[in-house]
Amino acid sequence: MLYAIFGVQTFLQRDLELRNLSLFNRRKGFSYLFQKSLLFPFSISFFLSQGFIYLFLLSSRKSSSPAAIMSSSSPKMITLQSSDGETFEVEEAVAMESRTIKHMIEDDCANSSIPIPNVTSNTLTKVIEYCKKHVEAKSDEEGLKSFDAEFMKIDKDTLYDLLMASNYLDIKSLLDLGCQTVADKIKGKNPEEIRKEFGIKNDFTPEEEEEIRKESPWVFD
Amino acid sequence: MNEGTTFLELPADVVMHIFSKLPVKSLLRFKAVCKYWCSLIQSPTFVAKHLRHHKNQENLLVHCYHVHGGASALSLFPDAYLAGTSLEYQDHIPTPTSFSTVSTVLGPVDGLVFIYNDHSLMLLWNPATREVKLLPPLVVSSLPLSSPSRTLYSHVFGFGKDPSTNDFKVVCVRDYWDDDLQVWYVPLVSVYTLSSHSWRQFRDYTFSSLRVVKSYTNTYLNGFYYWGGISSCRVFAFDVRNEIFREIRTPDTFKSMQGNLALYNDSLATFAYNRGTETSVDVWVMEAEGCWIKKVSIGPLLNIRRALGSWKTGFIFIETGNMQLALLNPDTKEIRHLGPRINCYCLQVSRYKESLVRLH
Repeated sequence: MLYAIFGVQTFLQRDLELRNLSLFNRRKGFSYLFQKSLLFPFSISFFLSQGFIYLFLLSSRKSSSPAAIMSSSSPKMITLQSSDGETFEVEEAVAMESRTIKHMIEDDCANSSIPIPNVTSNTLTKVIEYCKKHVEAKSDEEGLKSFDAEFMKIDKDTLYDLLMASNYLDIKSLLDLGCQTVADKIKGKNPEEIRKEFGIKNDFTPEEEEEIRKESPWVFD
Repeated sequence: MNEGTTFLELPADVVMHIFSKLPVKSLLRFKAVCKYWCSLIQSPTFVAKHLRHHKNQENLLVHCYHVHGGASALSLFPDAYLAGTSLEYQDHIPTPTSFSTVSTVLGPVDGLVFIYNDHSLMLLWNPATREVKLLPPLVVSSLPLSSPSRTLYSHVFGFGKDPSTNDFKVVCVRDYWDDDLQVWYVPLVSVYTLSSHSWRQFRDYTFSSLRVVKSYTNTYLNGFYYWGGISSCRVFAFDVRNEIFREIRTPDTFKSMQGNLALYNDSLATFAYNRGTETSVDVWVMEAEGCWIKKVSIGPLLNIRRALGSWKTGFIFIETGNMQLALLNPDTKEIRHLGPRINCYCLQVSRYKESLVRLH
C-alpha cells in the first residue's frame, strides 16, 4: 500500500516536472509565470494531503481494531486455529516459542490465522498456557521449575498429546520436559510392566527373550 | 472429541528422545520389551544420540591401588560427587576377569576402554554394558629382532577413533635399540581396527625413534592420539584415520618443565608442575596445532606430586604428596580429597560417559 502511495507521488512529481519543462519550453513570458505560480501551491497542498493519507494508513496497519488507532504500541496478535475449528489469539512473542510458527511468520505465511491441523483445542490450550508462562517469567528460574512440575501433573493421554503437539510445533523445552517426565516414570520398570503400561505386545519367542536376558543378566534383577 | 494419543502412536524420534534420557542399565532392560524397542535401542543413530545427550553426565573413572588386598580396582565418581552435591560413588566397579594390578587403562573413547597387561593380554571393554572383546595377540615380528643386539626398548599404546567411520583403533608403538650399532631401529607400529578385528603391522619412517611416554589419562581428541615424548618438550600425535605420525611444535619453555599431557576443556593441554620448595601448577592449552597458551597458573601450593587432568568446571585433579587423589579449585586454591583416603593410591584418572557402543 505504501509503495503504491510513493509510486503515485513519484509519478505525479515527474508529471509536474514534465509539465514545468513543457511550459518552459513552449513559451516564456507572463502566462508561463502565472501557470507556474499556480502550480506551486497546488503541489504543496498535494504533497500535504499525501502525507496525511500516509500517516492514516500507517496507524491503521498497526492494529486491526479501530480503538487501537490511537495507540501504536500494543503487541501484535497471532490467531491460531486448532484441528476442531477453535481459534486462539496469542501475542506474537508467545506464538514464536514454536519454531514451526516462527518460521511461518518469518516467511510471511501468517496473514490471517494459522491452522494447526494436528492439535486439538484442549491440547492447544495447554501448549499456549506453557508458552505464555515461559515468555512472561523468562528470568525466574525457580518459578519456572515449580510451574513445570505442576504443569506435568497430567494424565497419560494428555501427556502424549502434548508430546505430539510440541514435536509438531517444534517447542524444544516443552518436548524436553514431556520426554523427561515419561523417562522418569519408566526408568525402573521391568519389561512386563512396560508392556502393560504402554499396551505393547511381546513379539519375542521365549528363546529370543532368553538370549537378550543372557546378554546382560545383572540388569534384570 | 479429543481422542488421546497412545504411546504407540508417538513417532520414532520422540521415542528416541525419551530413551536418550535413560541410563544404560534401563535401556539394556528395555531391549527385552519388544522387537521394535530392541532395534531402536541398538540402532547406531540412537547410540550416537544417547552418547551426545546432555543428560549423559561425565563421571570420573579412577584406577587406584588398594594396599589392603594388594589389588587395583576401578572406581566411578559421578558428576554429583565431584560437584560436592552428593557423597555417593561406586568404589569398585565390576571389571573384566583379566583386570589386575599391572593393567593399564586407556581411554575412554565414546564409553569404550582399552585395557592391557602386556603384549599378550589386551582387551576392549564397555563398563556400562560390561561387554568385553579380547584383542588378537600382537605378532612379535621377527624382523626387528633378527639381530641379537636389538632389544625392545619400549612399547606404548594409544587408543582412539576414526571420526569419519566411527571405527575404533588401537595403536602400539615399539622402539628397538641396537646395542652394537648404538642406534635406534625404525619403530614398529601395529594398528588394530575393531571392525576388521585384526592388526596391521608396518614400520614408520617418520621419526628415527618414537620414544613416547604412556599418558596418565585420556589423550585422544578429535581423531588424534597424543603422547608426550621422553624429553618432555616433545609432543607426538597419531592421526587415527590415516595412521601416520606427526610431531607437534612446542614452545621453548617446555624444555625446562616437567609435565604430562591431558585434556582441558575439550583441548589438549600440558599440565606442568614445578616442584621445589613451593609447587605451582601451570596449564598450557593447545588452542591450535602448535600454538600453546598458558591458561592457568596456580601457586604456590604445598604437597602436590603431580597434576593429573581437569574437570569441566576448570578444577584440576592432582595427586597429593601421599598419593591421594584430590580436586583443586584454581580460584580458591582449596584442595578437596576424593574417594577413600586410607591406603588407596591413585594411579590414573579419566573422564567417562556411559554408552551403548557395541563391540561385537
